[in-house]
Amino acid sequence: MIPPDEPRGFRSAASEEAWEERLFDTSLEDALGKSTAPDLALRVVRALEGTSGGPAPAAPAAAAAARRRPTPFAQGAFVGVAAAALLWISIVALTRSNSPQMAAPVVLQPGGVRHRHNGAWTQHTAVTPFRFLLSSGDRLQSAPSESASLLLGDLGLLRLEEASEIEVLTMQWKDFGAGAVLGSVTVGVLAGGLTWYSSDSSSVKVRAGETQVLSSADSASAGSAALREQLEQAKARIRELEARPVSAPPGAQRTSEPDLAAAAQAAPAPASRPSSKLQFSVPELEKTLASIDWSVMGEKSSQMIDLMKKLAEAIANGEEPPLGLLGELQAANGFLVKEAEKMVKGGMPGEGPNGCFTHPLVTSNLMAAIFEQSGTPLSAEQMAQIGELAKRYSHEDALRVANYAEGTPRLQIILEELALKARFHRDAFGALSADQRSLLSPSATQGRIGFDLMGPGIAWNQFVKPVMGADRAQVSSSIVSSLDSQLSMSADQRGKIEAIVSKWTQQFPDSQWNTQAGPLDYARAFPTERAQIAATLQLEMMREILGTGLLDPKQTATLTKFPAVFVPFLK
Amino acid sequence: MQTQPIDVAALVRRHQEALWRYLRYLGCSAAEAEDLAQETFLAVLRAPFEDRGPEAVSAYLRTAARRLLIRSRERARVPISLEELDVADAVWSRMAGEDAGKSQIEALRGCIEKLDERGKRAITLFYRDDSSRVAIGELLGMSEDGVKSLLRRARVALRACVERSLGR
Repeated sequence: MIPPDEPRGFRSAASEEAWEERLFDTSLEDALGKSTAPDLALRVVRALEGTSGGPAPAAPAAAAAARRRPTPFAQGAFVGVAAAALLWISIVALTRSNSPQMAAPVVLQPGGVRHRHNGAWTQHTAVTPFRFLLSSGDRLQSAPSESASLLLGDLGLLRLEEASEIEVLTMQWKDFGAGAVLGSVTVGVLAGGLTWYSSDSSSVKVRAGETQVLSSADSASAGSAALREQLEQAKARIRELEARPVSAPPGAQRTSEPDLAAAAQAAPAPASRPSSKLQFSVPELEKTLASIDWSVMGEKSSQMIDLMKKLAEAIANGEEPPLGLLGELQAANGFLVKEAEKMVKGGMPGEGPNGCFTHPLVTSNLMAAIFEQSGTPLSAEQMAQIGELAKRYSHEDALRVANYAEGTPRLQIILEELALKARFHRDAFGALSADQRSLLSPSATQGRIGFDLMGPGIAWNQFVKPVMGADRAQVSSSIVSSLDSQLSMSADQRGKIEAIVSKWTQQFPDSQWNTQAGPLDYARAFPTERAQIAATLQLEMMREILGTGLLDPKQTATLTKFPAVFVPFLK
Repeated sequence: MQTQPIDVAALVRRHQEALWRYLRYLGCSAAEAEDLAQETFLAVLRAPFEDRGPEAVSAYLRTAARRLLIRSRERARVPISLEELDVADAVWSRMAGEDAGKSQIEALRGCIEKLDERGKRAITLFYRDDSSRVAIGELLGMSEDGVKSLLRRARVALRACVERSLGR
């Protein structure tokens, strides 16, 4: 079964023969060393430390928390969260019980809190008390510099300190025959701390790593009348708000990361979405992605796509690009550059600004924003597909980045990053109709380096270095000179490296050599395929040079970090 | 119920490769398979666990992994057909055998070496490097259709070679 150029992930395979083929494919990939099985032993042992007697089911969150791969995102507030997460695992396993999966209404007091349900985070922001449902396994996270207060039914008031995170471990319900009421909620504090003011007036502070049963002691002990009054006032206010006709509440819920299942339940029909917003995210990049103005990004990118198309057409026709067009381009691009800068500063993975800009989560959000701007938003099914792809590829990308060794050639990193993005691009575009694909990537710019805003060509643009020559020997000579300017080679080194470079130019496919450079090629807008071929061969060449032992440590380090991709062209 | 302490690390190391490969066979990327394999071990080992021997544990782990995969796909709204998974499991049990396909992989390594240079390069670029047919064609000086034929021929040759090596 050879299904080239189709998504190589999960495909429907109903027959035994198809599964046999797939098994063979998997074995072939393993035999070729495409990827190697991970060693999970240490991670699993650490996650289980102290929990061996616990009969509780595992939570995916615990598995995620137990993961100890280095990640490029572990910075700022997340460091604290990650550290506490390791303590968290034992708490979860020891205290989680098989309570029924019922949801309890809670009321967010004015302010904001992030809420994770079924693995997806939602930002709740309220200017008046705002009600939502909380279930076992859910998490709540307060903002880094703002506390959050929540009323838990009749039980009491929960105040999360700033930069805190808790998980709901269990909920106990009191069965009254005709129905059930919430009896208590057990929470574990993952980061920061909380204060629980129960309705019997007692209060307790709980720190990271501890658990607390949030319940209302039914005792009639003397307590704080003031607190009871506060609770009663809050409840009265909620009743008043709930009695109002349903309308869009002020400070309405803003969905920051559409979990695919949660989005399906809660998201309004695409056509009724009020404005472009962050659609796809992962917790590690949420802050950075949320800092981007996706509405304007969609608008400016739509403009850019159209302007680039006009520019490409003008260049291909041998026309002088109108100055007005270039001015518009510069204005639209200026905005995108500023947003890309935010991505770089916010730690979005990727080689250079364009690498950040082409991250799967950025591309997917941009796609959603562009279609919304065009008045033809993605369907719920497309949103789900693209969201799933974005998360999957983002995760794969994080693993890729985390697994590089110190001496990995930068060119290899660039190639692998762009190969991953090409696969994401292929799969994400596969979820679109032909018209939609054409809107994002018009034929005039499709697959063109620097011109195809929605493809990896934008990222390639940072690294390609066209090398012109009358023949292979001349190109080879130019490349050696270029390397020499970086490595300051001795005559002996130069002679040996010349031979290796010459071999590289000989390997460059005839079909590429013989393609006459057109006006777009001269504008550096050649097909990404050409850059990929050149880079693949160049990496082999660089490995050969590094493997000769000719270079001293400084030269080795320079060549290892060398990012330029020589793309040969015949004059 | 558990009757004696389990050497968790040894148990994980014994089964992780097979479990990871099984999940990839079911369509997970390497990263997703890694995550699900880890979740599977945690889920299984947090519950009362009895080591009834490698074969039983392996089957139990696959069942747990399969359940987690189904749940993950349902959350992502790309559900997997249970009937297809049943077929997949039957094929896995029959083809991968007790060693989870290790012998097939070993045989494949030897067979790949027996391919001619062009076939070996095409297979490597396609299956290891995720290169497209077009890109492979450019590198090998062939048309896209030519690459497709080359890959098909190489694959048929590999299958035949593996069958011979394994004495099937």
